[in-house]
Formats: sequence, C-alpha cells, structure tokens
Amino acid sequence: MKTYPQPLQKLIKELARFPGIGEKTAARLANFILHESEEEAKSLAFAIIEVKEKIKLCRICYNLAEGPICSVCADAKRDRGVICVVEDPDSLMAIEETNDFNGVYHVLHGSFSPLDGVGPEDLRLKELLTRVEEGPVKEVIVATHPTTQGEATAVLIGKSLKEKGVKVTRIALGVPVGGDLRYMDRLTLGKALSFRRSVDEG
Amino acid sequence: MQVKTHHETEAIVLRTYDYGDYDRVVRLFTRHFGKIAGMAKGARNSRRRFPGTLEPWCLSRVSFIQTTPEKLVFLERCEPIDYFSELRRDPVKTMYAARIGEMVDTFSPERKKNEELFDTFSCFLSMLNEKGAEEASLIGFEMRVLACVGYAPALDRCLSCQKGVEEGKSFFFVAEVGGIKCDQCISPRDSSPIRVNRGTIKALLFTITCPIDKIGRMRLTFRSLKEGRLLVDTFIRHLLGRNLRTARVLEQMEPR
Ligand SMILES: [Zn+2]
Ligand SMILES: [Zn+2]
Repeated sequence: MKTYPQPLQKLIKELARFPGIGEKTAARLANFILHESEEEAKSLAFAIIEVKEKIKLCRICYNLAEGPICSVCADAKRDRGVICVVEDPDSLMAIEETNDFNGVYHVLHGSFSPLDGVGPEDLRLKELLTRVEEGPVKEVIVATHPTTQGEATAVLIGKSLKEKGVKVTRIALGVPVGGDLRYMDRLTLGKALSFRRSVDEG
Repeated sequence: MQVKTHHETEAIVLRTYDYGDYDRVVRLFTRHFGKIAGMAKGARNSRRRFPGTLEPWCLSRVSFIQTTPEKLVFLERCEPIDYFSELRRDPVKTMYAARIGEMVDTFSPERKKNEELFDTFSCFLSMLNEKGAEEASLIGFEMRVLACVGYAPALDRCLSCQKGVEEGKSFFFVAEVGGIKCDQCISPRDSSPIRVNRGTIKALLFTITCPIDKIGRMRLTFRSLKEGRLLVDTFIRHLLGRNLRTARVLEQMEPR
C-alpha cells in the first residue's frame, strides 16, 4: 500500500473503515473508482454527502426521514392507535414490504445488549413511553429480532409499559433462534405479524 | 497436507457475530479446549445443525473440525443441553449473565483449558436461570471467576504485618497491591484505598473457597453489598486498565 500515490492511499484507508472490508478489498474498490470517469466518481461522492445532509431521523418515530417527519408518520391513512416497535430502519422496511401493517412505528436504533455496553437508557424507550402517554395508543407490537437481545428488549418494553393501560404484544416468531427480521420472507413475516402473543411482564 | 482433527465437547456461547449473509462467527467457552472461536457455516438458516444453540449463554454439545491451531474452527453442529431461556425473559438476569460472560471472555486466554472456570460459569447460568437474580451471588461469582483465572485478591491477612482477618475489625483494600492492609499499616502513599469491614472480607473469602453451588446462597448486608461491589469493580479496573463494557449497563439497571 505504501507504494500507492498519497491520494489513493487516503481513499483506501477511508474505504477500509467499512464493516467487512479489509485492506485488500478497499484497494480493489479504490482502484475501481480511480478508473471510473470523473462524472461517475463525482456522482458517488455527491450521493455520500447528500445522504448525510438530507437524511434525518423522524422526530416522532425515529425512522429515516427526508424532512422533519417520515413518510409513514406523514400518511393520514395510517392507524395511530397501533405502534410497531423495531430495532432498526431495515426491520421497518421489511414490515412495510409485507403490506400487512397499517399502524405507525417506533425505531429504537439498537437493542438491550449489555455485552456491547447498551443499556435501557441508550435506546429510545423514554420517547416510546411519552408517545404512549400522550397519544391515542391502544396497542404496542414489539417486532424486535428473534435473538437474545431482541427477546430481552421485548421484555424490557413490556415492563416499562406495564400499568400504562396499553396492550403490549410480540410478533409470533417462536423461540429465539438467532434469526433476523430482515431476512424473513414476506409471507412468514406477515403471518408473524397477525399471530401475535401478549408480552408477559414476568 | 492439512491435518483435520475432529473434536467434541460441551460449550457455552460467549458472543456471536454475523458474517456475510448466512454465516456466524461464534466465540465459545468449552470444557476441554477453553475459549475458542468457530465459524458456523449457514448458521442463520440451518435450524437442524444449530437449533437456536448459537445464542449467548446456550449450553450445548458441539462438534467441530480444527485445521490449523491458530485459526477458526469449523462448527459442525451444536446439540442443545440447556438454553437457559429465563435469562432472556428478565432484563436483570440478561444483565447478570452478560456480566459473568464478559468476565469469562475477558479473563480467559484463547485455547487454555480451565474446567473449574467452565463449571463455575455453567453453575452460575443454571442458578440464575432457576432462581432470582441476587446481587450478592453476582458479586460472589465475580470473585470466583477472578479466582479461577488466578486473580483472586489476597484477603486473608494484612499484606504488610500479616495480621489475620479475625484479629482486626476494619481493613482497606488496595487494588495496586491486590490485597488488604489493616488500619495500622495503611499509609497515605497507598492510592485510593477502599474501606471494607471484616464481615465483607469473610463473605468474599468464602466465595473463593466454598463449593461452587454454595456461592448462590451467600447473603450480604446492604453495607457489604456496597463494599463488595466497589472492591470487585476497582480491582477489575486495575487489572484491565479499563471498565468492563457491562459496567455502565449494570449501573443503569441498579434499583433506585
Ligand atoms: Zn416517523
Ligand atoms: Zn497490618
């Protein structure tokens, strides 16, 4: 890598920061960019800047949004009485693709994971509580991943919403098997959404 | 030519990392090989070979193939022995399991067999799974894990004058020297000493020496809980030069 000219070295270093990308792959990508036309390279650079400048978090549900609120929250036809709680925007997209859900969302941006140093205060739980207290919410559906962290997060939500007079349910995924909502096919996910069980706060 | 060896042992999952779209890299603590890292090919869609057994703290019988000693092993299958499901149904239990799991992970070197540590870890998980989450037994097991990896603090006598615990009322724990000093021997030069009373010291000593299934029965007074927690945390921070990742979550979960 030391033999590469300085600007190329710099690009390789930047690309090698991405998850799952080692220095060799980074060098290959950098060389690919180097051989692209100036137009193409500029368009890539612009897309990166645009993502950072234009994508914000929805101030109601913390989904990705282009304005102050996301497209789901902006849609008057959505049922505000049902909130589906997900770990990440990718899970939200997966549920949206089933076309089986007409409520609104709440994105936690993480899960209860002590091994990563992530505790209850690091998730957007307080914000969920406020929404439940202020809004006309009848049911909270917890759609966290079927993993140890996802299960523990669901219980945590059940506990904090206890005595709030709202029904808390968990989508039917069976035992936690280390699966991932995002890789589930539409039909399975759709079924899991309609067969939900109530979260016992233990 | 590469020599492939086939092994089978009991294992507890410490951590998992998704790899690519279908695979998973798993760090395990095993009875016969200590801490190992394995690649579980197709783990995210094969429920037959890995029936939910690649989640943190699952106890299973694993079979794996080893090629080169320093590389990842290849996990063939993991048959469940105990999922310890209750650990995922109570956030405090999740937290406690993570705490001991992180200690086992942090303090054990790769591929070093330590059956006593394995038994301690599995005894803790099964106790936590069946009974309530008690802070006293968490502290007790933290002490025991330290002892299993050779880091037990010296608590039986004053490190300066050798006065036994029975002969004094209160002592000071000094992380730098890895033990206690009596109130006559403690000096201003000892950095950040922690005052601990005799009751606390005796309880902590008990957790190091008693049979492992008795650790869970230990009861501590409110004062001893505070002292014990501070002593263990300070000592771990001294040994590692940093806090454990679970430390800040443990603080968040503390009953207020
Ligand atoms: Zn929104
Ligand atoms: Zn002394």
